[in-house]
Amino acid sequence: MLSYILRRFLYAIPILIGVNLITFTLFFVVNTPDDMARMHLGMKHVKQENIDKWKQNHGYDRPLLFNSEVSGLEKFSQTIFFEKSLSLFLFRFGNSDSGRDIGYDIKQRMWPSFLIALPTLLIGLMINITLALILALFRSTYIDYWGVVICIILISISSMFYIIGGQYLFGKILHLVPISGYEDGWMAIKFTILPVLIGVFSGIGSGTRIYRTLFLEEIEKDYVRTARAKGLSETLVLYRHVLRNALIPILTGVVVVLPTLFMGSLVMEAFFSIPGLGSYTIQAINEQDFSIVRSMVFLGAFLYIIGLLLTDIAYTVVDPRIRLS
Amino acid sequence: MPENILQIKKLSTRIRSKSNDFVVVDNVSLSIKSGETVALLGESGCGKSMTALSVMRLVPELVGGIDEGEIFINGRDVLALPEKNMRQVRGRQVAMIFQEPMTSLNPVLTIGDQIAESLRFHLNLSGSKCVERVVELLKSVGLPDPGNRINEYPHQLSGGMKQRVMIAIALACEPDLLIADEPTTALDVTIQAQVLSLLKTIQQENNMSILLITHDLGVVSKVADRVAVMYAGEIVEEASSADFFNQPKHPYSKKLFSSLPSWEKRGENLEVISGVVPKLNKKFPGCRFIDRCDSVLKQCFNHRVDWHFFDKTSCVKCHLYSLPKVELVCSKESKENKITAESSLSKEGALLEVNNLTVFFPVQAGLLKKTVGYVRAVDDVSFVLQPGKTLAVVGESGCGKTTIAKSLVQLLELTSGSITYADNKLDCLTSIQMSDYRAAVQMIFQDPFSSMNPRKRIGEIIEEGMVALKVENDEKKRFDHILSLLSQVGLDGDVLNRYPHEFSGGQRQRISIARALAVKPRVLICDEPTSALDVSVQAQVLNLLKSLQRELALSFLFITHNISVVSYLADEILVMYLGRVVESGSIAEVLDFPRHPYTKALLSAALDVSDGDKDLNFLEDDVPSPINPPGGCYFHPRCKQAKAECFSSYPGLTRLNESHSVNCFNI
Repeated sequence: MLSYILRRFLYAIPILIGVNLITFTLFFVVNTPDDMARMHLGMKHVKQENIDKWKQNHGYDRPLLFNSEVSGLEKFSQTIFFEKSLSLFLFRFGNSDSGRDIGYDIKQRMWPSFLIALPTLLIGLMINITLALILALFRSTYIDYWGVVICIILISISSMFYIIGGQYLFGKILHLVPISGYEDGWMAIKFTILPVLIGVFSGIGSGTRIYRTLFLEEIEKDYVRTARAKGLSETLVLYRHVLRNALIPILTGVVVVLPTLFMGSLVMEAFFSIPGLGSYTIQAINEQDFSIVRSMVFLGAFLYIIGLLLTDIAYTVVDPRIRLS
Repeated sequence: MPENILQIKKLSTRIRSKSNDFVVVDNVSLSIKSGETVALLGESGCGKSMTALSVMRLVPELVGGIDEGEIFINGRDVLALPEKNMRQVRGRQVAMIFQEPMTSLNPVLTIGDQIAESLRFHLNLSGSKCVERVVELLKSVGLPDPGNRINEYPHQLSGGMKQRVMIAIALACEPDLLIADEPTTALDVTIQAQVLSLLKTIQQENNMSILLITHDLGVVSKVADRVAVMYAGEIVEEASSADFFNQPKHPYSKKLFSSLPSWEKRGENLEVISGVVPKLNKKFPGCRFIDRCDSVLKQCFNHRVDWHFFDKTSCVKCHLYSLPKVELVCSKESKENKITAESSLSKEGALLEVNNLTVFFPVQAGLLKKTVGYVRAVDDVSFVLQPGKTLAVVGESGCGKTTIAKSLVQLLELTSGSITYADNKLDCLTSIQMSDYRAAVQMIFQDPFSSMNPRKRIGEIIEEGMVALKVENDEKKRFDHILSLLSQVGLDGDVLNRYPHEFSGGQRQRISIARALAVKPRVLICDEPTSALDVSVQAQVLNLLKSLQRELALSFLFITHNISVVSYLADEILVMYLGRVVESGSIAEVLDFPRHPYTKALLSAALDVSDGDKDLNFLEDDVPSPINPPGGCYFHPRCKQAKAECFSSYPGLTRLNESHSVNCFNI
C-alpha cells in the first residue's frame, strides 16, 4: 500500500510540470509581454519606448526562454520562463503588476476563504446525507416523491437568488447579521454565518439528490438482502450496511475538494465583500493583473492535484478491497 | 410442537409493474416437516425464489406483495405478525442463503462482523463470548484457520469459502428452517459437492429443515427427501424423492428429465420443451403447460386442473391422470428423433493443431511495477482438433480453459508455443491469410445477455463480422445469407430489426451462433455456451449445435464444466488442472476409465441423476493459486493417492494407448 501511495505521489510531479508549461504558454507566449503592456497603457497611440519602460518596471524585459546576451547558466536563468514560471514551484509568486507581494496577499486572504468554505462543506454534507437517508428510507412513497420534486426546484433556482434573498431577509429586514463585509478575529463569525448558511442551502438540492441515488443504488444490492434476511431492522440495514458502502464514493468526492477550499468561492466572496482569494482573483481579472491570475491558476491546479492524491489515500483507508490488494 | 416446521397454505404473491400485475406465486401450498429437505424444482421465472422470499416476508414492498394465503412457521401465522416481531423470526427461526456468494456479503465489513451481527441482534451475545461463537460457527462450516479468518474481508475468500460464510451466518442462531436459494449454482462442481455435503451434515447434526430451491435435478437427487415441481407460479407435482426419480408424473417433469444430456442419448436429439414459460399476467382457464405439452386433452384448455393424489405423499396437477382417457387433441410424441448414424466425416489429418501452447500473465508489484512473477494461465498444452469433431476442455474455473480459447482466436498473445491451422503456422501468416483464419475460427461466449451490444439490431450484429472480414461484399447476397443463417438457427427473418433485449436467453444464444456462423467458420469455439441457460433451453442449443456440425462439418472446441454435456456431445476430451493438461483421450476412454485422480474426482463430483443416492465424493480445499502452484505435481495437495514422488517433481506424460494419455505417477 505504501508503494501505491508513493507511486501516486510520483505521478503528481509530471502533471504539475505540465500545468506549469501550459500556464507559461498561455500567459507569455499567447499573450506576450508587449500585449500586456499595451493593455495597461491603452491600446492606441502607445510608443514602443513606453512599452519597453513598462516591461522593464515589471520585470518582463527578459527573453522568454533563452538569453543570449549573458553567459553561462545565466543564459537560462535570466529569462521570463525561469524567473516567472519556474519560481512558481517554490511558491515564489513575485509582485503583482501594481507592485504588491502576491505571496503575502495570498497568505492573508486564504483564511477568510477557508472560514467560509469549510463550514459550508461540512454542514452541507451532514444535512445532505441525512436528507438523502430519509428519502431512501421512504423510497417510492409520497415523501420521497415530493422530496425529489423539492430538490429539483431548489436546483432550478439560481444561487444568486439565494444570496440576494438571504441578504435582504436576514440583513435588511430582520437585521440579524450585517449584509456584507469582514472583520478579523472572533467577529468574523458575524460576517461569515450568512454566506455559510446560504452556501449550504443552495447546495441542498443537488447534494441530496445525488446522495439519494447513491443510497438507492446500494439498497438494490444482494448483501442488503442478506442483511434483511438476518432480521435486522430497516434503519440498522441502512446505517450499518448501506451507509458504509455509499460513504466510500461520498467521502472520496469530498476529499478531492478539501484543498481547493482555500481558493474560496468567486461569487460568494464578491457578493459579501469577503477579502478572500476568490474576490482577489475577481479583482485581478477586472484589473487585468496577469501576475495574480497566473499565480492563482497555478495554485488552483496544485491544490487540485493534492486533492486527487488525498483521494487515492482516502480510498485505501476506507475501502478494504483496495487497502488489502 | 407442531409436526410441520413450515406450512404454506394457498399462497399468492403478486409483482406489480406499470401496465400489468404478475401473479408469480399462485395458490401454492407446501409443508416441510422437522428435519426434512424439500426441493423446489423448476426453470427460471417459475416463482421459486418468490415463494422463498414470501416465506421470509422479504418480497420488496414497492414492487409487489403477498395477496392471500397463510404461512405458518412453527405453527405461528407469520403473515399476521407485525413487522417488528417478524424480524425475530428472520434469521432466528428461518434463515436464508442465496445464489451469489460473491455479492451477498457486505464488502466493507469483516466476515466475523457479519456473522456476529446476527448473534448480537438475536441472542444478545457480545464481547469474547460472541467471538468464540463466531469461531465455532466458522469451524463447523469447515473454514480453515477460523481464528484469523474472522478479521478478513469477503474479497479475500474464494467463492466456495464465501458460501461457507453465508452458511455460517444462516446457522448463527440455529434456525429451524434453512431456505437455500440455488446455493451451489454459481460454484464449481467440486465445490458444489463440498457445499452440498456440508449442508447435509449440518442438517443431520441440528435436525434442521431445508427448503432447497434449484433448477438442477442432480442436486435434488443428492440431498432432497421430497420434491415439489413448480411451473409458471404453481406447484404441479409433489412426490418423495425416490418416487420422483423413479417415475416423474407430470409431463413437465418428464420433459425435464428427457432434456438432460447424457452418454446414452448421444445418437439422438435431446427432447426439448418448445416455447417458453407463459407470462403470468393473465388468467389461466386451463392448464398452464398446455403450449409446451405433447399430450393435450380437450379439457386441458378450459378446465381447471385439480390435484390428483396417488397416495399420501405424491400428487400431480394434470388431467391425464384425473379422468378415463379421452381423445388426444394433438400428439407430438411421434417426432422423428433418431439421427442417422454418427457423423460420417472422419477425414484424416488435423484442422487445428496446438503445440506447447503457453500463456503467462505477468504479476506486477512494487513502486516501479516490476514483474515479480507470472500467472501460469496455460502451461505447455498441446492438442489436435480433427475436422468435424468435438473436443471438450473441462476443468474447474481458473484452470485456463478460457485462456486457451482466447489465444486461439488471437485475443491474447502467446508466451510461447504454436498454433497450426490447416498446415499453416499462425505466426507465418500474412495479414490477408490472418483475416481468413479469423473467419475460420469463431467463438461463442458464455453469457448471451452481456455478449451482444445492446444498441445494435440483430441484423447489424450478424452483419458486422461479414463486413469486417470481407466474407461477402455484395449487400444483397449478404442479406440473403443472414436470412438463411437465421432460419438455420430456427429464427424468423423478422428478428433482423429488433434489439437483443427483446429475446430470451435461448434465442440470444441462437443469435450468437448465427453471428459466429456468418463468416463461414470451420472451427467453433464454444465457451460454456449453455451454462447460463435452463436445462430445457440447453437442450435446444445442444441440438442445434449438433445438427449444425452434421450439416456444415464444423469442428467444435467445447469448453465446459458440465460433464453430462461433454458425454453427450464430445468425441475427445482434455482435462485441465491449473493450466496444465492432466488427462486426454477419447470420450469413452476418459469417462469410463478415468486414470488421473483429478479426473476421477471431477467425474464423481458431477451430480448425475441416474446414480441416485451415491455418496458425495469430493475434493477437499480450493484450487491453489496459479501464481504460486504447489511444487511437484500441482494436484498433490488435494490428491488422496499422493506419494513421495508427487511432492518433488511434475509427472511426465504416460501414453496408455494411441489416444489416451495421462500425467500421473500412479499409473
